[in-house]
Amino acid sequence: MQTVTDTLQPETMASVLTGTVNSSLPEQVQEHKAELVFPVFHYALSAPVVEMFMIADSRQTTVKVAVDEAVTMICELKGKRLNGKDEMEVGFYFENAADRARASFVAATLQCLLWLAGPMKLRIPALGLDLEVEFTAPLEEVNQTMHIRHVAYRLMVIERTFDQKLARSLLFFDADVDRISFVYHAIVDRSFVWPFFQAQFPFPANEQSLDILKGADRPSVRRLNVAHYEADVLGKSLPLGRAIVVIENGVIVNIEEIGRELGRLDGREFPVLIKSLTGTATYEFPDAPRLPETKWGKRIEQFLALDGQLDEAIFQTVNRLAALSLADLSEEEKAEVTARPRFE
Amino acid sequence: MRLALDSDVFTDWRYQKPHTMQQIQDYRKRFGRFPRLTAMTVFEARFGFENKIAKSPSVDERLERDRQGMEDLIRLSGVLEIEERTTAIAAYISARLSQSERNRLRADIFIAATSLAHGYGVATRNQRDFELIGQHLPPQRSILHLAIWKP
Repeated sequence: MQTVTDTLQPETMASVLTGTVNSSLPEQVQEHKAELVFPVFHYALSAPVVEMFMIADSRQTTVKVAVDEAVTMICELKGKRLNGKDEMEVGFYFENAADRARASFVAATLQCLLWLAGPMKLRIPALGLDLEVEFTAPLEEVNQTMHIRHVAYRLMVIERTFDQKLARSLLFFDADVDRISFVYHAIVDRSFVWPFFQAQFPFPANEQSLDILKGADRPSVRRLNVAHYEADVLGKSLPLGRAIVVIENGVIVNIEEIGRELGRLDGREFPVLIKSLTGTATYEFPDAPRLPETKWGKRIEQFLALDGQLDEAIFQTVNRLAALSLADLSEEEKAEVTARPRFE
Repeated sequence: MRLALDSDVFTDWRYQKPHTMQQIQDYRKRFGRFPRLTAMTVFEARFGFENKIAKSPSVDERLERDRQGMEDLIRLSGVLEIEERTTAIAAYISARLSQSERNRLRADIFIAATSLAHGYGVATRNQRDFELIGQHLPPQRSILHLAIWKP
């Protein structure tokens, strides 16, 4: 199996608020643990230390922690002298040894925790390390990483359901995200409303089609059965089984062609172009594969349980900017700066 | 459907209207990101500050601070740019409206056209005007999704 090492995020740096660290390393690192505590979120994570090294000249200590099966958190401690005082900086970044959705989800969750969960504590007893740190959230990166986390989870569900490796990159185009979401809804929700402009469906030229396509020129509810629906996600075709597509206010676009083809009644397939006047359709996937019952494991379950707190934290952080954009102004000034320009 | 904010909804958010904040929070949970802004919405929001600053005799630190907050919010939300295909949609719509409608809806036409060109719907309070615009769309982009975010 091919693996790649990919640094997921730029290093996240902060000055240490309080803390101590030994000036020497233990002889072996086996069985040492690192503990990350996020008191505001009432969450703590413990993971094995896999490597430690120290560069005495530059007063730098590096600790590698295996936080999940393919994700290593690298913690760098740097001592420096500032204004005659010894100070310490700590930086975190993550290495992803397998470009799987799970690894992206784990790294993105931890990164978002560091940014959004307030002051955190890092403890490595073997190093005599006990630090309190608070990171300043670089909002654009937090926002992007939260989105990666959201998409990575959906991909995890799809990968697990189809037992396939799909993730190649952490950055997706809108169209990729749409396809991922579509398949995720098919697996998890089974029935959902989705944007629908127009699509082509094959019909045989027979009596049954004649009946179905009766009144083709008028908008009506079009309920279409698709025997085998396949959705393309990141270049792989995923079978979702039988689909029922219900188009409210559906109209048929190629009426003249249909009239000609149906008149033959020779059983040959011809394309029917159906358009939705409301721009949506309800998709039902009664036979789509289901997510296997097996649990994700403790770490992932814990990370999923943090959804609500992370969502609230990012919303409140960004919402503060919205409030700030009028915060210092009188009511009259607010009205003035939010008035739409007039050109006449 | 992914959404871009009309100027009225963006202003409601800045005014911290509870129903708008709730809609934005719900949207973010569903899509994993905040709704986008169209370049025209950003223009209108920036014009408000520039218009005030241009009339001020001296630098007003309060205005600068608030403007910075808005700029951060714009950068974070992401902007849908006005591209060549946007102008084609906007021209199609404009040509099919009356002169007075065209004048009155100039900004909304570009908000709708930009959203359509990028495959987005529009979150607005202004149902009537956007439905009017929605009646004059080109055949290739004949459906404008609207989310009406009113209290």
